[in-house]
Amino acid sequence: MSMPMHWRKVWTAPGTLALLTMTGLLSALLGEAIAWKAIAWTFLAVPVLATLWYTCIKPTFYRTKR
Amino acid sequence: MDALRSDTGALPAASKATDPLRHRALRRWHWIHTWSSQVCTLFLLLICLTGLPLVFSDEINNWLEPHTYVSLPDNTPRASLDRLAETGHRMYPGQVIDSFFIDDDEPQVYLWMVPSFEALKADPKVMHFIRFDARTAQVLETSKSLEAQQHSFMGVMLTLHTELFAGLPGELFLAVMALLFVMAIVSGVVLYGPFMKKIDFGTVREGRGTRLKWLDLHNLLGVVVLAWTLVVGLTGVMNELSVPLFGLWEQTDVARILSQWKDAPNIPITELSSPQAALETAQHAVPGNVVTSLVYPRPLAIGNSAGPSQYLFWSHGASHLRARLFDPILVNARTGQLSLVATMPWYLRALEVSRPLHFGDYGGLPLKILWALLDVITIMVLTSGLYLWIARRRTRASRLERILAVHEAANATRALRMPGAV
Repeated sequence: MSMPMHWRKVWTAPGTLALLTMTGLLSALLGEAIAWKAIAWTFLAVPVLATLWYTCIKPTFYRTKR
Repeated sequence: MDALRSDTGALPAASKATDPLRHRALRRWHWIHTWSSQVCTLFLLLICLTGLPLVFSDEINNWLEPHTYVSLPDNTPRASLDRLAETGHRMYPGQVIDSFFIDDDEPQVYLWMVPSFEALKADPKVMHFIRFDARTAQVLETSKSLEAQQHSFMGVMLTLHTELFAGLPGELFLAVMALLFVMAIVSGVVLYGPFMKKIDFGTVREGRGTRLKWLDLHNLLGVVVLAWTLVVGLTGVMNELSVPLFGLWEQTDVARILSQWKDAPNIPITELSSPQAALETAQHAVPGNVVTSLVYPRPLAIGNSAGPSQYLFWSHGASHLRARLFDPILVNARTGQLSLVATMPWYLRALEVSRPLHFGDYGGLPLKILWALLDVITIMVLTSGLYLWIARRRTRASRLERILAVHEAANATRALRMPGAV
C-alpha cells in the first residue's frame, strides 16, 4: 500500500531531518572514538545548515531568479 | 503559538463542509498548541538564554578560573586519601569531613568539610572545600562558601536555569513548563501536516506581510529542530524531577538496604578506618568502574549518605557508554570490609541517560557549538511564536475597530437620509 502523495510531500523532509538528528544525538553517546563523534557532528549540523539555507542563503541568492 | 493558522486566519485543509469531525479535532489541537506554548514561552525563553552559557560551562569556568598543575609523568601515583584527610583536619581543626570528590578528568581531589553534621543539617551552605593536586597532595585552592559560589555568574545562570532561585518548588514548576513545551511540540506536529499540504517544505512567503513571513519561519524552524527540542524538552523534565526521583529511591530501596544498620552507633572520627583502604576495597568490588567520590558516615537524618556506620562510594562505568551510569558501593567504616554493591533502579538509570542528552557535553567542543546553535534556533521559534500571538491580537483589535467605524458611518448616513433630518 503506497503512502498518499500529500503525506509524502509534507513529511519526507521533516522525517528525514528528525531521523538524522536522532542518529546524531545517539552516535556520540554510543562510542568514544572520533568516528562516532564525527557522525554526531555531521548529522546534527544538518538541521543547522537547513535553517541557514532556507532563512538566509536561499532568500538572498535565489530571490531574483524566481 | 498562533502559528498554524493559514494567512486568512482560518485552520487549513480540513474544511468544515467535507469533514466536520476532523475540523473539530484540529481546532482542539490548535487550542492545545496555542495555550500550552503561551503559558510556557517566557519561561522557556529564560531557560534557553541561560542554557547558552551553561553549554560552555567547562570552557567559561576554565577561562574565569584556570586550573594549572605541575607537569608530572602520566603514571605518577595518586596521593593517599589518608594524607589529604590529615591535611584537612590540620587546616580546619574541630571540623568534620563530609566527602571526597576524586576527579577523573583533571588531577585534582576535592575534600568537602563542615563545622559539624548538625550545622550541615541546619544550613547546607556551611559546606566548603579544599582542592588538592591528586598526585602531590599540594593544596591548590580553598573554597568560598557555597552561598558565594551560588552568586558567581555561572552559579546564577545554573540556578535560574534549574530552579529560578526557588529550590524544589522552582524545579517542579520548571518541570511543568518543560512538559507544556513538549505538549506544544506534539500539538505543533499534529497541526503541521494539514497546514503544509498546499505549500512546499521550506517555503517562506515574503512580500505578503510580516506576519505571514514569520508564520512560515516559525513553522519551518520549529519542524527543522523538532527532534532536538523534543529530546531536550523530555530530558529537561527528567532532570527537574531528579530530587523527587532520588527521594523515592531513598524511601524504598535505600531505606530497605540501610535498615540493617539503622541502630548502629555513630563511629567517632578516631575509630574510622582508613579512607584510602576503603577506596581500594570499593575499587576492587567494581573492577570495570571508576570510583569518583566517597561520602563519610553520618546520621541517617541528614540524608545523602549510607548512615552512621558505612562509607558510601560512587563509581561510574569506565567505557564511554557506561561513563554516565553510577553505582553505589558501601564499605564498613569501622572494619573497612565491603558491605555491598547496590544497583540503581530503572527510573534513576533513565535520569542518568537523560543527562548527557540534555547537556550536550558528550561529543567535544563541536557538539557544544551545534548545541548552542540549535538552542539559538529554538529561541527564534519561541520569539516568533510570541510575535505571531501578539500580531494576531493586534489584527483582531484593528479589525474590530474597522468594523465599528464602518458601522458608525453607516448609522450616521442612515440618520442623515431619514425624513425630517436636517
